[in-house]
Amino acid sequence: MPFLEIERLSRRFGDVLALDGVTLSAERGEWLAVTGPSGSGKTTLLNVLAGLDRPSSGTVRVGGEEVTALGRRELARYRQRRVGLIFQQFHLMPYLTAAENVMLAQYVHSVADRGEAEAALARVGLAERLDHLPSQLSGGEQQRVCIARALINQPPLVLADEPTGNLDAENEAIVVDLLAGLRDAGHTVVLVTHSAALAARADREVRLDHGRIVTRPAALGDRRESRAAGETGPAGGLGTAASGAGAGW
Amino acid sequence: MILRLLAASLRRRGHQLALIAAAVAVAAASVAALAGFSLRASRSGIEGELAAFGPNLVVRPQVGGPAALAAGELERVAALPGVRSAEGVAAPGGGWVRIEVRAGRERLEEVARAIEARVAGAEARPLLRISAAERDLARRLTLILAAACLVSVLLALVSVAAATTAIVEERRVEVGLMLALGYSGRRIAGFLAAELLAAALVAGVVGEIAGEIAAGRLARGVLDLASPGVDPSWAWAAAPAAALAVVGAAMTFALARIGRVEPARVLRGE
Repeated sequence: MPFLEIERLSRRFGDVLALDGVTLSAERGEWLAVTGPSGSGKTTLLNVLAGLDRPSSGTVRVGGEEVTALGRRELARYRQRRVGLIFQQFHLMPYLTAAENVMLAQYVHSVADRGEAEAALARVGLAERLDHLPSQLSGGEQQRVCIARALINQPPLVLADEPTGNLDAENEAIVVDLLAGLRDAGHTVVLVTHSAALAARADREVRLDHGRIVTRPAALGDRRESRAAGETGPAGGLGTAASGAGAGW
Repeated sequence: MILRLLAASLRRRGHQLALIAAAVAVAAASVAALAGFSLRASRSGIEGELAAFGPNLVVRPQVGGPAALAAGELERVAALPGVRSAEGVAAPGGGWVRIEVRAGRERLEEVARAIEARVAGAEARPLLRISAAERDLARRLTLILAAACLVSVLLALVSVAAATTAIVEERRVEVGLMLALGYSGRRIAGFLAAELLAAALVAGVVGEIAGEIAAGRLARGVLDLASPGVDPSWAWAAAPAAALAVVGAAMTFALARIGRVEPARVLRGE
């Protein structure tokens, strides 16, 4: 049984059909890239998966739980326990330090463990930046804090919305390595991106246009098997960063 | 963590919270002034009859009668049932210009009648410290204070609700982020409540002190009443209760606004 199941999902905003009968599934530990032009419904799909938006019709199941049937309170609980969100704009609290921003996600469970937050930041290569405010961090570092925050509660589903959209090539490579590390650690990753190079690093790519899947997803495991066979990514693609970050989640 | 969030937010939004505290303090002060003044006025009225010490009945010669009461009348009055104490004010030519009596309130009328029956040519009248005119003045002042109180509480409600709305608007992204992380709207409202309650606490204390001072001065200046001093009565709870009520109402308003934040849209920058 797939970990993530999306069936005939539609989302309408007035006259605009942002998602039109999307059906999709992903296994536990799979990295799925969702690509497509602006306005194709990528972010809407991600928001529905995150429980931040409700579909007009269709169902979403995560780990057997029907997210689309949950009430407001249950949705908040679903986000606490099952979802880690990575944003393009990072969305860090400007007046909290890097460690405190990570602890903010822990505190949703009424527990804040600074040691765990420090370890999470160390895993994304920010052990020396624990007490820096977001304004004292580069864009790439802020995005890594955002990733550490998304992962501090060990969510099985990680949703990333254009996580490298505001980053330079070097930081993009670091973030991509982190996402690959998440997949290797068993997290299911759904990545929304415009970048073909970034999508090529995923296990599967799903292309959306006008709310519909226009590219039939490659069979599950195709790229995984390719990777296992030692094939490299596409030419000009994202190489492994020197940070060493990404493993160990 | 909550303290860190609270402290950081208080630092960043000190000016907004100061404005909220000022509006709540004015409302709390007017409530405290009303409570303090009306308590003093009512207590002084009752004290005219119920004072633990001092006279509450005065015995004088009847109009048209002798200029003074006979010297032996003091002992006669003091010996009457219901009389706790009696003191005479001596007349220049001997006897008493008047006799001041302390009697139990419940037997005041009975004692007065007994005195008039036993002491020839004497008139006994209950002694009240507040005249009817003063009582009327106190009642009018209480009404004016109540009206001022109502206006200041309404203004505080409007200004605190407006300030709270501005704070929630400013923090839409923060609220959206916290909702996205799995915080419930109620819990986020709780964080906001903690900030507002901190402001309300300060405002309540300042308002209570200011209102108590105003009430004391008003009572002394207008009714010539001495301050009763520290009084553990309900009047002390009036200002903090008003501050909490104003902030509580604003919180309900803020909670409704937090409930309308759509994290998906806010985090997209819409």
